[in-house]
Amino acid sequence: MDEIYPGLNMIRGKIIEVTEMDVKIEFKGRMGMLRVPLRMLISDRHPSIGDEVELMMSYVTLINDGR
Amino acid sequence: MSITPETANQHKNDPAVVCCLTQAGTVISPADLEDPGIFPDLEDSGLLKIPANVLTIGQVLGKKLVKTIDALTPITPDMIEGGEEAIKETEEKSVEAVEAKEAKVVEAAPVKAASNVIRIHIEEGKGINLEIPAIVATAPAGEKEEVVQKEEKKEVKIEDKVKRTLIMREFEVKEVKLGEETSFENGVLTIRKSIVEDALKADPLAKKMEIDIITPDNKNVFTNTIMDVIPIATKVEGNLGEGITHVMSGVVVVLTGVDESGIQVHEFGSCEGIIGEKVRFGRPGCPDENDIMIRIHVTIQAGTGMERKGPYAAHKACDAVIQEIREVLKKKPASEAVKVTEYKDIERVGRPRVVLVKEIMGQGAMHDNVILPKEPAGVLGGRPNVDLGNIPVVLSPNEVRDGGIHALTCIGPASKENTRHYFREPLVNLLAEDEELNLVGVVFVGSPQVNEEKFYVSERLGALVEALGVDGAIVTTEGFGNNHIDFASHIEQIGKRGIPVVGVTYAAYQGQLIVGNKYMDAMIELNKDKNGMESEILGDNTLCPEDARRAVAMLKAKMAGVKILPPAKKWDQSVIENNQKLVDEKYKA
Repeated sequence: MDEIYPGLNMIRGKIIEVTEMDVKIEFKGRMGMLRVPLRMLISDRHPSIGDEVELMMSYVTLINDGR
Repeated sequence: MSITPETANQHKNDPAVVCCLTQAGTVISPADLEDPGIFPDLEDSGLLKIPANVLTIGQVLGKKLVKTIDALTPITPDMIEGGEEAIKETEEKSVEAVEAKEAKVVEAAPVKAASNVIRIHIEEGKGINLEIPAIVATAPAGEKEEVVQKEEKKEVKIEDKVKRTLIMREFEVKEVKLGEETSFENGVLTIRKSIVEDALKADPLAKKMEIDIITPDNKNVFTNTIMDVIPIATKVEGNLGEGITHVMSGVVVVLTGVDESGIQVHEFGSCEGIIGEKVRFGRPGCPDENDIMIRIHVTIQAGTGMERKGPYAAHKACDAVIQEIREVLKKKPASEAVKVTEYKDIERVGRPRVVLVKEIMGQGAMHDNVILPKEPAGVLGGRPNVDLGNIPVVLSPNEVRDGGIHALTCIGPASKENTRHYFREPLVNLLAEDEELNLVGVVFVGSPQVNEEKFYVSERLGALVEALGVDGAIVTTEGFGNNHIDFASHIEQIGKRGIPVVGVTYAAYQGQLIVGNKYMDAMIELNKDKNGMESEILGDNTLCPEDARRAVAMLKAKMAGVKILPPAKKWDQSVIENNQKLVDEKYKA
């Protein structure tokens, strides 16, 4: 198989849950969900549900041959 | 892309490369040159190859080009008028430079206070009248003489002022067991089994508690996530930072927690697993290799692990258990102490004033710390920095060493600073004991979530440091993430006031800095993982005594005006190892 370069893309999403510790993000285009601690979120104000976010993300590659 | 005269001046010793096609006869100005900052990228992509005989920016400015050269051509002696002379100059200069550098490094030790300097810099102007009161203009001169005299008399006498003394009596624990009553006799600590019911009263959200003992020879046990590592210490006389403290050695409390539905309390910072593999024993914030661990496992109400009150409840319940042990420890006679240490807060007259700024997490929930509890490393009586608005709070070095900070913080296990870390913080100890420096205090500043709040606290920190009138500062931070935004801002706030400042953090590969500024030219990397990752091992990438030695050496070098080389383009552990070697040779660690 040719080598695959998963590449970085700007992905957008929406905050669907906020706790005192983290936020849960749902990606647009049915790309899944992500939960990150607040210290990983850069924001000019406190996040709330419905806020849009963006980040650079690539496809996820399995690196242990599935074992 | 051309550069400005300012950039050219900054990079005057870097290679000169023209940015565009440049005609013969051109007198070279900064506008003709490429920014050396992007050379590594250009070299990587093969667009640029710098020959050994390239001239520096300083050498070519104002010189006339004798041939027409293409964009991105490094300027060599044959291309400019009088180029051969420039080579000679280079050789002479480089010999001097090397010598100067070595000499400076050797001299770096005693640093004079760099205050009393009036710097007036006017680039361009007309009709400027400067009226400086005579008293300002003459005072520095007078004081400068005084400093010189003092230094001459240094051998004779400098009266250091002891501000306060803390006596720490250590009591050795050889065995810990659970029993009917809490007692501490002949090195055997017995903890009352039924204490768990009483401890849960500390907070209704704490639902269940289990206590067990992990001996050093049996580290092959499963542990839930370690929320904190807490020393057992108590005040016998005086407030935190002065008087007498009793502390147990050879034993440490390990707090772990889950919620009722089985979710690890520190979901992101969790390090559950076999304790022998999940803890970097011997780190300042961790149990030592031969410590007995009293594991207190608290189950909190389902779902509250994501809120501030949940983990806080676990810490309060745990503190209630420790408090009962403290009560018996208080009563131990001084004669039974195996070791007595005296810590002094000293005003070292005439030495450069330095401040240590420790950034702590303050985004909420477990990103929080309790400042100045009543008991050493306790909870009650202290104020969480989140509630204090994350505003900088000054502690004396003794207050820190007497357990003035109780960490609630979750962050990543490898880079989080536990309560025990602050209790024996290597940088505080090293700065406090350094005869050449006058440590004026330790400032704790929280890291809020929102950018605007970050800059608010950072500006207050700048004002505070200005008011302290220090000659140098070290800024450290635990963890990584958006706290690096305020970390960088703190360094800028201090640096722009003309105060030499050194930054200390874990960054490496995973936690690389997301912002930077021109004052961040003296940085200490805390990484210990070979891949530069958050290794998920408790305390792995935290500040150790060897890091503290590098940080202090870096600060002294910067205060003495020694040139600090720019960092490698990417994280490179060999730079750190090399610095460590240099520092340890110099200071005979």
